[in-house]
Amino acid sequence: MAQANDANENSFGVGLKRFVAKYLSLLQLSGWLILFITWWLVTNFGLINTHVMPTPQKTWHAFLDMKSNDNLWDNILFSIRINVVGYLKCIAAALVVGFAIGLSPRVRRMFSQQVNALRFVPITALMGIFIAISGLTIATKINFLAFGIWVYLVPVVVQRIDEVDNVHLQMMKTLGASFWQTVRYVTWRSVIARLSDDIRILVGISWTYIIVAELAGIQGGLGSLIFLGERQSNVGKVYAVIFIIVAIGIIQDAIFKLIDRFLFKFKYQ
Amino acid sequence: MKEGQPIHEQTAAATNTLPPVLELRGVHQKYFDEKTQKDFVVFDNFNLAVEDYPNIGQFVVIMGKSGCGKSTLLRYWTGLQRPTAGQVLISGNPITDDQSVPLVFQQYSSLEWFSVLQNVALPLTLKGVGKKQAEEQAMEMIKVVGLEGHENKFAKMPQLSGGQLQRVAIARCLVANPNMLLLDEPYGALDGFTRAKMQFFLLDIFQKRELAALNPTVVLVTHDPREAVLLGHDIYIMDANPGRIIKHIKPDLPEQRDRSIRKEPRFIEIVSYIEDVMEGTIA
Repeated sequence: MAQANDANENSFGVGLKRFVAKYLSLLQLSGWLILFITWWLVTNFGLINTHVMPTPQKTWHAFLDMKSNDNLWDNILFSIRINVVGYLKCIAAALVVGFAIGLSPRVRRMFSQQVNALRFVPITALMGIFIAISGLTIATKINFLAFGIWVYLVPVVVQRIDEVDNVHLQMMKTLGASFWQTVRYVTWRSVIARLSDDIRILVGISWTYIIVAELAGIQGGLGSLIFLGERQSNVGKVYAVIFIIVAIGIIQDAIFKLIDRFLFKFKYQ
Repeated sequence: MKEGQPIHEQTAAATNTLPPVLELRGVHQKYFDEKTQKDFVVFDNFNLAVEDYPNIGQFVVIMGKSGCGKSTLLRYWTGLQRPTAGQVLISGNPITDDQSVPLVFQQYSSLEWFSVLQNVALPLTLKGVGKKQAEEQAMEMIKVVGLEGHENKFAKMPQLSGGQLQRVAIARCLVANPNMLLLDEPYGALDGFTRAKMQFFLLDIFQKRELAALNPTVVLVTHDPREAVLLGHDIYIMDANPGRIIKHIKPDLPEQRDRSIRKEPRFIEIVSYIEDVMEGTIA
């Protein structure tokens, strides 16, 4: 099929420029600057106990210390790896189960209540069960993370299937499309385009589970650095790791947006 | 036609020996109304036979008040809905599950993640036609509906206007089955100016040599008497509770029509007559 629309309109470069304009404008940066100055003032003038909130200088030194002594980059990569692999596993499993429930009335009647009920399970409490099942391994942590997001993502997939425009489904029927042709050309494309936003938003939740997983049995990762910081009563280290996670989250979010813009060009026109 | 008699009213059964191109026999349709906890009867022994005029094609218009079931008729023929009882036939044969009749919906139905070309080629793709051939045929149809140059745009607003999106839908229907086109108030969402423009576009499409040669049957559901008279060779007017045909009109206007016909006294007279029928001032 012909490529839709002018490629230049949606190239990666244009997306990057828009990203820079959106996130790195003077106004955006001044917002960060105001927060930083406020932080500096309240900690350096003793308005907040520095054992609760360290000064920016102390946090920066903790960052440099981790860089020199705690293999910071390796731990960042370790956490990102768990995040990416866990996320991919979660998306694959959520699509399979979500589409089975969303497309088959029988499967929906059988399992939709159970899947909805899973949303109320306190996921962080399940870490022990995951370790009991498959040991204290990296794979266990990945599976824990994948499950933690999966329980949220499956109902969203089902909801997105329900939201597929009925006129599109009817149009396909009037053209003589089979069930699977309708799934291929309408349901799948409609769902995946909308789900892309949902997946991006759930990235925030994923970091909570990564830290919980990494706190269990120190095998590396940003969670283990937080654990070490707490053990050493080095609150600067804890804050530094939190800021690193926030920075990774913002970058991840931006990457997801760029991928979304690249894969689903029609959404941006 | 006699002077003073604005139209020819068809009351008797068709004398044509060919089976009706579209037919409903003894159709019953009822819904259970949750509010009143009673059955709501849409059709009670409803019958309609749209004559087949060989070698000329036909433009049939179905009109009526909201809720009289006119859109439901199209849903029967497209297979989107089955009546509670009765028969739905196309060219004398009952419709089957694997039969498809394309319909232009009132809502914009094009797939926004596909280009105009992909949308128009979709029926051919579904039938397993090769990509190259499907695109060539789709491109031909895009030219017919006047969207050449827009084929690589996504089929969505604001890339395309409402009128252009409906042209995409019409092209998609024609590429699939060019001898039948069902339209369910396709211009309902358009402003008056665009609507008028689209009416002439449809008239042009119907009269164009390449489509006229296929003798297409076009069925249009509309509220608009002017649109009905401009386009229709056969106009069926329905009433509700239960849904029924109260008039079958064949306007005595030239087969080939253009913009100027709207100013003809005959045209105005027929429109006025239909308005009277719909308002109930003429039995």
